[in-house]
Amino acid sequence: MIQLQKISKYYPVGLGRNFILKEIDLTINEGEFVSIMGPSGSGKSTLLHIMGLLEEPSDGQYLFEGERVDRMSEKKRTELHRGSIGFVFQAYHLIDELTVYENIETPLLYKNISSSERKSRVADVLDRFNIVAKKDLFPSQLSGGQQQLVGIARAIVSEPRVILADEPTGNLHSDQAKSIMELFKELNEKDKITIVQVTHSDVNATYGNRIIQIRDGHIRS
Amino acid sequence: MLLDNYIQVAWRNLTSRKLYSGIKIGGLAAGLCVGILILLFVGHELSYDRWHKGSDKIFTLVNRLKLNTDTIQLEKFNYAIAPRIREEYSSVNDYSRISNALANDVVIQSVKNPALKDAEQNIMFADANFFSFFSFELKAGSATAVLQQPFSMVISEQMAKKYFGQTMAIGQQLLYDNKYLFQVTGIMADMPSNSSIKADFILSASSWNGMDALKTLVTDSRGNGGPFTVFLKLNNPTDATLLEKQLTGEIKEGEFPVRAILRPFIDTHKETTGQVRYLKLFPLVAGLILLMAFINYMSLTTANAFRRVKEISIRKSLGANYKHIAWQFYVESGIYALIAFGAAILLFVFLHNTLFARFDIKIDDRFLFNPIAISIYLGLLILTVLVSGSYPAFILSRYKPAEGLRLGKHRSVTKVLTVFQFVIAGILIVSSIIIRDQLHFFKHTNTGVNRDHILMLPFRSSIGTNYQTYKSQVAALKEVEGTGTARYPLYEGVDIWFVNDEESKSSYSLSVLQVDEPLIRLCDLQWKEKPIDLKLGASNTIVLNETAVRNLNIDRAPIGKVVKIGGLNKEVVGIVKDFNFSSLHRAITPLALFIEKENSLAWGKETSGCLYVKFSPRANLPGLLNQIDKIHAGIDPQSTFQYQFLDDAFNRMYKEENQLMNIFDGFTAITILIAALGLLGLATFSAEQRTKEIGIRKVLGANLGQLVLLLSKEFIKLVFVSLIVATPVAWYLMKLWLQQFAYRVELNVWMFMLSAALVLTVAIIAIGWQVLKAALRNPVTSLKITSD
Repeated sequence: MIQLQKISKYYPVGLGRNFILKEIDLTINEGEFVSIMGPSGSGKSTLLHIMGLLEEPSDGQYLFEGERVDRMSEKKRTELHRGSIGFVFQAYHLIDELTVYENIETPLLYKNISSSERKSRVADVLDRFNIVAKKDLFPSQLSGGQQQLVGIARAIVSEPRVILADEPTGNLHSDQAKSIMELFKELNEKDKITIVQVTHSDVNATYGNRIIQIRDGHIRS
Repeated sequence: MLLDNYIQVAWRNLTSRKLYSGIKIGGLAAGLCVGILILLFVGHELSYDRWHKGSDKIFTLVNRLKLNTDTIQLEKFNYAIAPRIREEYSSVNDYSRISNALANDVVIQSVKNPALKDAEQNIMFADANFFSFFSFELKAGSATAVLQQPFSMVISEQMAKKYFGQTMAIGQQLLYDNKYLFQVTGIMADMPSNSSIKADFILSASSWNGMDALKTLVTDSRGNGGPFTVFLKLNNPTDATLLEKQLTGEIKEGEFPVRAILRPFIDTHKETTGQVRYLKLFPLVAGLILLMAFINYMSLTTANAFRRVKEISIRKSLGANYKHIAWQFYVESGIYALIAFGAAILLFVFLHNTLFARFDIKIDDRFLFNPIAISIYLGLLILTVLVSGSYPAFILSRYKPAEGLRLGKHRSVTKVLTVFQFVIAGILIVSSIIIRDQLHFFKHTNTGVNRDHILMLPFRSSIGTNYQTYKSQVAALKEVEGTGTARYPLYEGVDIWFVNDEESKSSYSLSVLQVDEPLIRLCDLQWKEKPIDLKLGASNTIVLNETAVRNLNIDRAPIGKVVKIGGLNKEVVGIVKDFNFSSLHRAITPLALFIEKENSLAWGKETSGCLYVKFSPRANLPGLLNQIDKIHAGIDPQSTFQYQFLDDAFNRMYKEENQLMNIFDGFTAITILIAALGLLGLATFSAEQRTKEIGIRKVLGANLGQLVLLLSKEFIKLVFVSLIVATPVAWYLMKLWLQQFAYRVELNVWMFMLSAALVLTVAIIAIGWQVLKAALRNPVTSLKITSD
């Protein structure tokens, strides 16, 4: 599903280059639950951003379902973005000025989904995550775990095929972390959503079915 | 809908940060209010007379006469010239004449209620076709019929109310000048404020044949001059140039070369009032103030961008592209603009009467709703959204989530914008100070005339030979220190005579004031060569001013020289020192005084004149005026009592500058307000962004003074840069402005120092509050705030 071929990311420093990622080769198949691990600054977040089209690689090729992303039209990439990829962030990244309901609804708005369908989809997700009672609250009125729950709800509401999660439990205590990870596992197994997570935690990494170690821009398997 | 989502976010952002939103909206609203005001004024000025049907085909006949160095414009003609022109030239479709001869200050009296009378200012005689030639609205009466008959009149609604109240005015009569009965045949709507023809009473010109004083004016056809303004309606506006040439060939004014000019009717206002000189400046000023308001909005929004970066990143990760983000910020500025616009309209509704009065602008309320005005409002609203939304939308939509917002570049843009605002503020402040100083100079410089405590009391010819009685009764009043007489109130005009120089075969124009000898003492005019009493008042003598002596080339031994003036030989018997008998805009021109004997019967016999009264500085003015009014009413009951103070008359000549000063003061205040708001906003953000830094510095031992300096240094530097840019620009512009005056102040360092001090004070006040607040904050709380 995701194929990275000799992906590099660097910034010019003086006359040389400072590599964040160097010639990464990586394939992630449909239905996998992959954990990317590595110390701070090893390039794992950059790798996730590249997969999520938030950043462009300096070199190399990225194929999404066999199609080269760099050759896609802007429109197609936006479609891919909206339809196939969902994001979950360490700091939840909810929009402070929007309620829980509105936050979850936002990605659907960008997909031009009809009002009635939006309503039913958001209602489904709220129901599934058991947060119906909180739909009119603002992010600042929720605990960290609840915010992340909303973050995940927002990621899956547009029915993506892949969820990219950047340290989704980094700001949570262990009980909350556990339930979030179980939720990911469920999404992976029941909904067949491919999940790629970046994590520091060995415990969290075990929820996945593959671990990729990254250090100084290289993959160490 | 996505739009709802944007509106929600914008609205919640707006309400959660009230000070910041208030500054943004307040700045925009102030700018928009001024923008509306100025554009309405300009729109109104430009709409003068254009609302007449076929206004582009109407032209006013003007003759331009060249007399050596002087050009004289003749705008009034005799009765016969207009029909003759139409007869001879097929390009002329129609003509219409109006005249206000013997129609100013005439007493109009109700027949039913004789106590109801008043000296009316706006009376006019007009041809029968007046209402079909022009497009003035008639509320009652038919356009073609109302002025057909002699002694018929059309009055304005306002006058109908004044003289007839609720009763039907049509068919009733009004007494004109105590002699003639006119029948009201029509009621017209009050003339719009954007009409160069202004009248409350329009009387049929055919009445003249039945009016003794005016009869001769109709029949007199010597020369071309007369009492009528002549309007010609051409078949085609482009015929004007040819017709001008043809008329120039035909019309002669004695031996002088004449050029006939057809002035487009729609240019009347522009060409006959001075206001237009500054009119060109107004859109520029409006533009600048609007731009400042927009800049304020943009730089505040941009400064706030770091708060929005997170939201934009999230939106981008959820599938928004740059168009979505740009659109969102346009929607947001649209909301701000709408609110600001609403506030501006409210401000305008509540303030426009005060503002119009202060700026001495007259605009009908109904003009505020006409299509021009409405397109101004809509245009401003759209412009506001487009311009103020543009920069934030541009930089925020191009922000790439993973790269972080590079605020550095935009911070310098914000700095440039702030400098720009303060440059404008600086220029306006300097200009205000200089205009103020020039006006002060006008009012307080020594003009050679002592204007203190002098009343001018114009009298009409109806006073007749009783003038001497009137004068002596007024002079006998306890609080009156002296009296004098002249043909006209000073500063309201002079007669122009021509002097023929036999030797050089050329002629000069010479201003003439007809005065009596006590008036010279009353106004403290200084003699250079005092004449022998015996010769004063003799009909063949004149007194000249120094400039006239110089211009007539009789510097050596002028006394006793004979000057041929208006065809008459007059002996120069005395010389007065130069004094300013007209405004200080112009240098003193050659002047002759015709001095009449005090006790002669020269005054009041046939013509009107003006009694000057010097009153005691301790006089009780209302009481004194009341006493004089009673004396006047006893001697000349036919005319109404009028008065003005010499000092006021003098100051009125600088009405235009006064108006300019008021306008500049207003604009300057608004500009300073907007610039200060902008600075306040930026200081707020700077303090907010540096909260953590300030906390750390405090913990490390920085004291209050050091922190205040740290926070304000950046802004004060910007203000200094602005002043450095503004000073030469203001110096140049004001130098240019001052050049139009013959008497003017010198540009001085203190003017610039004062404005610099003002700008700095404003800046310090604007940032001081936020800076102090930030510096005084307890480091424990400030570090806590930023830790999450």
